[in-house]
Amino acid sequence: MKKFINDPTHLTAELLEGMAMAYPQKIKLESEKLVCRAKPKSADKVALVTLGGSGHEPALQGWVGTGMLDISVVGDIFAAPGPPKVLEAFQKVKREAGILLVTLNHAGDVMSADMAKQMAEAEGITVKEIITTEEIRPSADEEGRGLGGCMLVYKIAGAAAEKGMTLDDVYRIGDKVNKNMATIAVLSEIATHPSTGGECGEMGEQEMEICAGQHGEGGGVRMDMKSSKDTAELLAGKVVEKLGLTKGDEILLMVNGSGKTTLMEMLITFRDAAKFFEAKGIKVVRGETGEFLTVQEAAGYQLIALKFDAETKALWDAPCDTPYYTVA
Amino acid sequence: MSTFDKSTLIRMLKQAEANIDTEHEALSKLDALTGDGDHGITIQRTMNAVGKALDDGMDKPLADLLKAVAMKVMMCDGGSTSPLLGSYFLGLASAATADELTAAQTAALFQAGLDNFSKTSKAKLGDKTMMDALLPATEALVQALHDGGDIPSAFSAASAAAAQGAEKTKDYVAKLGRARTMGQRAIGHYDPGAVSISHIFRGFAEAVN
Repeated sequence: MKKFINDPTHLTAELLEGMAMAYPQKIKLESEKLVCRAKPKSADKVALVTLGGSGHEPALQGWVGTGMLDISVVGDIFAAPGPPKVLEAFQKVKREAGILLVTLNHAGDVMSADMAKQMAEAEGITVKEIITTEEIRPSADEEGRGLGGCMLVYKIAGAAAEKGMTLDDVYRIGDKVNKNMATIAVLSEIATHPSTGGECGEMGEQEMEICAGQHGEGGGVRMDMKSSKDTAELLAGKVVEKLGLTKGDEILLMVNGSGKTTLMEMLITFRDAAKFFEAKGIKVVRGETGEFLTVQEAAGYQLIALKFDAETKALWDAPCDTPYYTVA
Repeated sequence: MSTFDKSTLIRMLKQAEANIDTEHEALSKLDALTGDGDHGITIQRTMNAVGKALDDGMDKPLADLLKAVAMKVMMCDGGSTSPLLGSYFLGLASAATADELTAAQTAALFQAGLDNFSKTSKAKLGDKTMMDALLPATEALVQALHDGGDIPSAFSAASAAAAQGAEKTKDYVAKLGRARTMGQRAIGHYDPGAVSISHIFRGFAEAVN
């Protein structure tokens, strides 16, 4: 492993310190591993909290700030934070307006969130939870994991909260985003685990895997490496199927690089996917390319799409100001 | 040895921690085959938290000591390991009625641990999780104590059942946890969580024998 790091047991603490030092006007680090807004949101508005392991930068804490998250509870590399940390976040932002917790569907995160919610309820703190499950799996009866689409929920539900909508409305809108979005991942090279230096799985030289996970845990479908166009069309076809997209639909299309894949490849992929959608009369009205949720130096990307309606589109365009996503 | 008391449990958990310290690299390698390759670090961090909580709370009554262990475990960022083992220790704490326990109370202690673990885990036998080792180990322990077995032989039976349970995970498709998306490809690989539980129960047996 060749990485610019110090003590492998201090990776999370040091990266969070770095992020807080780089963006002091937007975020601050409180009681180790709670990333909070530099200027807290007013108490009459719903607070948004999320949790998850580190090692996926800029996700998830990179989206704490005005118009998106209030607190990101950070675990260690690829590992969910323990329930008491999540409870501490709830205690910090507890308010009459309520708290929306967004949890990505991974076993550890879901268990930790569940225990923390029970503890919060015992203290009279109101928390509603959305578990994101937008991943496309090889078989339709398998429940999807929560991948990079969480960012869309933070952005759109976060904008709703910032406008002063009620917890019920913020929840309804976040849930609508979760149900109308789809993410499909492709992996061509495996990451190394930055703490152990070991490879997170194995992958053949000429192989790629679709429906791959975020950590090299596999579970997708392996096939020979393909061109950008063939890969993008294969993935976009599955998105059309999952979301039931038809002529005239408007979508947000996002190509999220996993770490090693270059912006050049992401742009070529975006072009190929957008052309595929447009040939079907599906309008790509908003787009994003870049690194949102990464997995160290894994090569590949997540193709993320959201079927817009007027409400979600307007909230997507609403202003936000976070370290890694800003709308003026 | 026929009684079970706080100092026995402390020695057992310390031996379990020592076993995990020895095995953690092998456990991470095992995890790389079906997961993200860090189970060894996670379980080591968790068991080191157990050891630390025992050192810090040695003088507390058993129930309070186990609660302190549970809190320390849940403070670890251990993915699913920290809520799972945190629930286990909370379960143990709920049945730790005294610092010295009869055979029946010892059986009830470990049964309560399993019951609370199950509430968080929701896994069934054969789902390729920690449950595949913890459930048979607890059943063997409870049965042996019920049949009048002494503490050393009861924990030896539990350890053997945990090892057997972990061994069987090789033949299972994962239904929960990070390996669940592997489908048939997980067959032939051990579940690292179940293997960890077997090392922990082996530690329990080693400490009393």
